[in-house]
Amino acid sequence: MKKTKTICRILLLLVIVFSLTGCWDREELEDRSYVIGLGLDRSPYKGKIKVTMLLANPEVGSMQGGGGSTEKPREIISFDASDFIVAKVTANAIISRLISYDLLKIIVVSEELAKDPNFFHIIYGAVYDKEIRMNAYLAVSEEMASEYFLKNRPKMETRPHKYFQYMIEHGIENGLIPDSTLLRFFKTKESGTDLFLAMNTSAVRKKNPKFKGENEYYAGQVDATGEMDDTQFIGSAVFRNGVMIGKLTGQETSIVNTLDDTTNINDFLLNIPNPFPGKQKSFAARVMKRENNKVKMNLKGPGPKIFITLPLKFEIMSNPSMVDFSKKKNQEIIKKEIARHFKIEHEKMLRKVQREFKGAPFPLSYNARKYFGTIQEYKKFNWNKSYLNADIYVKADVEIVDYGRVTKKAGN
Amino acid sequence: MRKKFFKSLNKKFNTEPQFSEQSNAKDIELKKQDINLHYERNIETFKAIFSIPKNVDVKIREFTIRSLKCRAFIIYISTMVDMDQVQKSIVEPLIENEQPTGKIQDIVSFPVAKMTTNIGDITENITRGITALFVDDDDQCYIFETTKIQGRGIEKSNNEVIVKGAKEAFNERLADNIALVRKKIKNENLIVEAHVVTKRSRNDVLIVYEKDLVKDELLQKIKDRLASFETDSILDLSILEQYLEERPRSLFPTILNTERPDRAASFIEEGHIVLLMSNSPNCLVLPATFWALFHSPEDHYLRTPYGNFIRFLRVLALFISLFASSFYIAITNYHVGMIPPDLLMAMAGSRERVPFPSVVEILMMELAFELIREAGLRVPSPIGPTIGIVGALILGQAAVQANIISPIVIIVIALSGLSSFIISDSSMNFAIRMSRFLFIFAAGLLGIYGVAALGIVGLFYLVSLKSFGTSYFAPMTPHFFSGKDLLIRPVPMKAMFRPGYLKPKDMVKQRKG
Repeated sequence: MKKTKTICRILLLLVIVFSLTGCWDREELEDRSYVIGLGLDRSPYKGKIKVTMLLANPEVGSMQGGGGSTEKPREIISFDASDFIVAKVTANAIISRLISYDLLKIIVVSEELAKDPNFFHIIYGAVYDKEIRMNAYLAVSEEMASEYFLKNRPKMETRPHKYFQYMIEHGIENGLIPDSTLLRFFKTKESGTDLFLAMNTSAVRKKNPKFKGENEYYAGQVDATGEMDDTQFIGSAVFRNGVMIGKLTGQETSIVNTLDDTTNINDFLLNIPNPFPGKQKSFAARVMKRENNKVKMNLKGPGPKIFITLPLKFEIMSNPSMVDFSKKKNQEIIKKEIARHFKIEHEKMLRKVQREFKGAPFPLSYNARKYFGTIQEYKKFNWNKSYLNADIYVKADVEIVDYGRVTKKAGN
Repeated sequence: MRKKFFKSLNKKFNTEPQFSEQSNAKDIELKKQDINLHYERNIETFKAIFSIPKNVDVKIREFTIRSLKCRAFIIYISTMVDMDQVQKSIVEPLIENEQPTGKIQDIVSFPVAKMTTNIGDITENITRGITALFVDDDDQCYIFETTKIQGRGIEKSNNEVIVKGAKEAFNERLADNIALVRKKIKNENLIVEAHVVTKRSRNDVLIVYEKDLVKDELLQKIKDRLASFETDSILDLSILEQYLEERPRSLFPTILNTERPDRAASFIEEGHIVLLMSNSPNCLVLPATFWALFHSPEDHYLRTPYGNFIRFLRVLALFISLFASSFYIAITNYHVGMIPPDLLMAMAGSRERVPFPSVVEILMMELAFELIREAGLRVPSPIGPTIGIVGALILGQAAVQANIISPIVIIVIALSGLSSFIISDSSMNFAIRMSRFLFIFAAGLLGIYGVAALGIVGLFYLVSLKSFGTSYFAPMTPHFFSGKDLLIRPVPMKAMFRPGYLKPKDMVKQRKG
């Protein structure tokens, strides 16, 4: 009797539990097709977009030894759809397996669509899809995204997820492209004050590009020749309120990255003008950022003043003028030169962005908030408007940790 | 109404069967009587009781005691006594001694254990291997302890192998087993108490404890429990273990069964009670907690860092063997986003040609592993070790090549199978291996949520388990004073208390130096 009662209770419990959740959405992982890259373009039809999917073939490159297949490592399809969520179903007319955004690494948007005032509403669908993760990257390509994926044929990494993973990871490490995850994109848009930088990429190399200074390129302008893929990741696209308004070069992007405390830029290499006499006009240095910047503001009065101090550590990587750095005098000279160079470059870039794009390219407004007692006061201050008149002073706190190998001049 | 219906239904199906048994009232009556003064009558009685001459190894030898000039006979079971001793120390002196003395004790060189008159008592003793001497015109029977039972010597421990520390193990001879414990605890307070637990085979159980440590209520509880069995025979200690347990159907053991005397001795020193039984090469430790079952003597013999290292490995192995396969199923079926892209691609690529869902795949391999394991155990020893390895290798390799299972599953199964070997207690080992299957089903149905839910329910259950009034996870939860030897063991100097859940008479093992 007691037993029947317990069994009845257990059954009831199971029924309740299983109606809440269960194996209904169970799907074996090989039944799915994983989208690595998603391309978004403007469609000729009204209210539609052109969706491009880059699908990875799991069989290629995964098998050790025998059993490798002769299949292609990827599949690319483009079609017009109302949004990229429903497009998953449409794509199944062509792709045999269930489309999944679980491994989505990069969303490439053509410049044309990114500049469309409607763009934010299109991309906002990513927030609602359970599979798309907020650490997917947003990138802007000059050409059509559908074309971009077709043209992108990496020579070394045939598996697309690996290619994008390496490309983006190292690009961010070197500071040439911004850390433009979807999370940062949506966060910046919601806060409504600052500019967002998306990485700039292109799979079409410009014909006869002009040679410029170190890294002062947009994507597609680096004049490289050889046997390689034409895809380039350099520079950034500037978004205000979720719509693209302009571009920054690779060098400007790396300056923004040093100013931005919310990204993880650890160290990168840089050319700095040589203060010593000699034919070589610049020397190489490794810049290391280990601490957060110190930001101080004076927001009273008509023209707010913003002081940014960059605590940077340097390692001298080359010494073209064969200077003896064991002498205090020489150390002072190079320190001063670095500080001067950083001040000029940073202030130049910030002023340019302030003038052209009317905002700060990194979440500077967060630092401003603490100077106000209430939210109302902050709102009354109107950061967006006040920033345009702000004077920004950048100071580099230079500490040289390593002067490199101490060279002795011949004969000494 | 419904209650009544079920009740009557229950009654109908669960009636106790009635058997027409032959009455043995006459035998019982006989055993209550005393022996007769008449020599002939005694011979008749015992010939009847032991079915002589049908029973070939029960021997009766008649002779005349020369010095007393009277007839006598001895009765014994030839396979259980030391024949040389009987011949030299009992029979020869009785026949050859010519000096007229009045007492048997003075003639026989073998010490007389006791004298008795009750037929039932004598019968019981003869079945134990003693020799009984009946003398004409004497109302007493002389009993000699001539028992000599053949058995194996003290050998190395087979099932609880350790590298450092004592190697000897219990064997089937009770006297040896007690000696093994006594030689480790040289204290007059170590008590060895005998209790007969069954009626027909008269199996006796020895209760070993330290008088000045063990809590009296606990001892009484165990004695009451031993007295409560209504069974004809319990042949082995492992069967007694099942009789003793509060929840014999439970997956998890609540009594520690060990074959190592050093382990038994260390538990006695802490205030536990140990049960020994003849014919069983092991002992039971009561009460036992999860920690007692989980630890290995090696943890204590190794230096503290090394001991803790293997403890840590064992904890890891416990979790791996419990969760590896279920975690694999949960992740591949429900939480694909948790897998790094490279691994996911590799898994998807290798799973593409496999015809079964991953749950079936895992279950198949788990079953195959258990089969290999069981077969390796039962196979005759000369081909044993080879068949285990070869079977596993061939099965794994061939199954992958035939596209029946994916290589990742082999890794998962091998890992969880290997880890399960690290849990040394065989009962605990079974418990973990069987609950693994439950976790696999839970993961197959509900993913990580199912694993977590089952884990929580299982933990509730474990916490509610009791071994002779001691909670399963004591002294961790509920908390008691103890030597703090749970997951991590302190240096021996810091283990100052005996486990508090036993409430020993002497709580402090050592004082602060």
